[in-house]
Amino acid sequence: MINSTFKPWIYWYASPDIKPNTFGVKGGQLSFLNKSQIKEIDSGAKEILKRTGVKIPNRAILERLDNLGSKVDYKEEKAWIHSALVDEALDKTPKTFNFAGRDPKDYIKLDNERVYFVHGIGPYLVAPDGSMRQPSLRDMQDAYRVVSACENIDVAGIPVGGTQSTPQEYMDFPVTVRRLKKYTMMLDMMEKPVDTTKQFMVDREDETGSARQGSLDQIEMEIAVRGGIDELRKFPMSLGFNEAVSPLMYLPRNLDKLIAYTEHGLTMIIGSVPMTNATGPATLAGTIVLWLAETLAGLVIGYVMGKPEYRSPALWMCFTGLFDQKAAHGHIMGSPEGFMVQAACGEIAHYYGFPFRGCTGSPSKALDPQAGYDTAICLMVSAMAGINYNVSVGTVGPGEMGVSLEKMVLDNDLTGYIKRIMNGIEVTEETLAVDVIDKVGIGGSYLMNAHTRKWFRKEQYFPSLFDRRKYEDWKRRGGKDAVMRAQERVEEILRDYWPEPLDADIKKRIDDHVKSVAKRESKR
Amino acid sequence: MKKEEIIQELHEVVLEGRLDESAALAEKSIELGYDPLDTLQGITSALRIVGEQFNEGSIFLTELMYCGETAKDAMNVLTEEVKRQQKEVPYSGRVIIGSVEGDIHDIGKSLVIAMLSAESFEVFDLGIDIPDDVFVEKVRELKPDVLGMSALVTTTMLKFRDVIVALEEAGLRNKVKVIIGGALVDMNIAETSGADTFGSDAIDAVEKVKALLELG
Repeated sequence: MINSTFKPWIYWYASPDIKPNTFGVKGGQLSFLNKSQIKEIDSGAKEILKRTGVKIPNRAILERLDNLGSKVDYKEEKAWIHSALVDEALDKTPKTFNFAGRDPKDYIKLDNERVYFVHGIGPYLVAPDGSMRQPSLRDMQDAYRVVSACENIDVAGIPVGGTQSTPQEYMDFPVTVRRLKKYTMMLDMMEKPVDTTKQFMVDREDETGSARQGSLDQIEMEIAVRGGIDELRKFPMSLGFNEAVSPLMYLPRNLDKLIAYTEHGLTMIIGSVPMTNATGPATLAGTIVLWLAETLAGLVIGYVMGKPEYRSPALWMCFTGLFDQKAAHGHIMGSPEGFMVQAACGEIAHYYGFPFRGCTGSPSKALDPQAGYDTAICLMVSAMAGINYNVSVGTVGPGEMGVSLEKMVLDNDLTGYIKRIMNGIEVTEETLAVDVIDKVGIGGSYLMNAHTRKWFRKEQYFPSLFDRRKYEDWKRRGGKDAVMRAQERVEEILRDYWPEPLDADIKKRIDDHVKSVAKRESKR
Repeated sequence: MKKEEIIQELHEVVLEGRLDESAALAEKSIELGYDPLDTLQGITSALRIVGEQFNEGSIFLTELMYCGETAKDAMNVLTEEVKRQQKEVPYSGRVIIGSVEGDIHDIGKSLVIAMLSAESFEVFDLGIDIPDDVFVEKVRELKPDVLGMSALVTTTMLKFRDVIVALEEAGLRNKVKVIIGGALVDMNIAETSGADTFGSDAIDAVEKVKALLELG
């Protein structure tokens, strides 16, 4: 019962017998659309692609589509994609992939069933009262230490930061070098897979045309970590993010990035974030049709720009984007409509066989009940709808304003609840316990019982911060509310825990790569 | 087996709650002629650790109970031997405990007994549904340091007062400390019924008993 492998810093670890599930939990119990509705949405989206077309500001892609029989307008940078090509891309694009951090042994497997939780991004570090600040390098490291200690979080996002939050310490480097330095720090701090998606997306400096070079620099670095492109393809470390801008536009920098990934046969993320009411129709079904048209266009682009010998798998995505008519702004991460839209988008992705990436969050600015409710409902609905890759756990504020370390540790308990629910009720002869019930008999107790001793840790999830103590016991322990306990937990982690550093050989290979990029940049 | 080895082994058996092994180990230590008072130390040191682990949340109630029972089995063997050698058993104190008349709940009471035993108290369990006069007789007969009474439901909680009044009438109230417990019991109930204190749970009950007896 007392597990000798127990790490002291995770003494609150739910059950030493149950390691964090690297193979996710199975979702898909909840459904908003039936098959015939999905088919109607599918035909609506395909009609948009044929009738309205998509803006694709990239000559190479337009030429390829032209050659494959789609109508293109080079001057307007538009393409009208025909359904046969869409169907071919749907059929031939790989639908499962592995994803790992610095060590391929710690991979997760993405398919259209398994559900994972991914730590959030966000440029600011948000205190429980809603005050924000630009993070320092140390803040970012601290965020990673907290994420490391959250056993229910499967993947670490970029903690507190796109480029708005590049730590002061890295500001003197050229933008590409800055990113690689940040990535090095992440790999040094984190054993879990690291989601660097937003590393580029939020980067306004990519407008200058450095997106392709930046992606190639990152891929080179990952090859240095894995020791070869084949190994990297088997266990990708990052995902090429190509988001359409609704309605029906692609951006040059996103396309550059996508091509960098597909020509290496590395996994791509395709999708969009239409905001109901503003960049998408007011009706949820209409928003979904628009999203699907944009997503299928992204899939086709990735497909035609890839190599037949090693095709890039695709992770589909949609965010919970709502433009709120009352607040008069958009990208609301936390509305019932948004939760349903992304769950339905996930169902459609699954219908075609693809894994799906969704997002949680809350427009609440502070770490308050609303932040908790929004996150809890979103993640529960998402998990039950089988959304496979749930990002932005641990964030608060509209549009993923920032990361809260306190919310991170609370969300760890929340995701523990959800994983427990998703694992369901095991029914076997042993769990039915008829013999045990007979033996305990009438009026007995199951507390001191071998069956109880064997099963309770497996059956029950033990939250580390959610309080269930008796009033007197709670009072005796200081009578602290959840936020106070979360603050203490964060302090405790930051006092006691440092992750294993990156392997010295790998570190050297990375550093050499970063130096060579720095040298190249200095010559520009 | 050397004495240190057997003490260490017993310590680990208790830590891991290996219920079937502790009594045999205790018997073995006696066969080998080791002082049972020394062997007891290995058990009490393990129980201290187990208590801390439960308090910080790394082991849970069922496991704690197993550790307690494991310790109790060995302690019973060892205390018998201490008595046989006509030495004094180093109990922390004597407690009698029971559920009041009309109350048949005993899970909480069993926990308190396990916890008290683990802390080296000599505990007499009167059982459930105990009439007022039995409590009084037993206090007179056994002269405990502490009387513990348990009641789960509000109606049977009224019995606390009745027993305490009966103790007063028998002239025994000032000879014994009284602690009460049960899911709904709080300090207010303790005061109105005339008890010295209450235990909010098994761990708290042991702390309160220690405080009543001014033990560290």
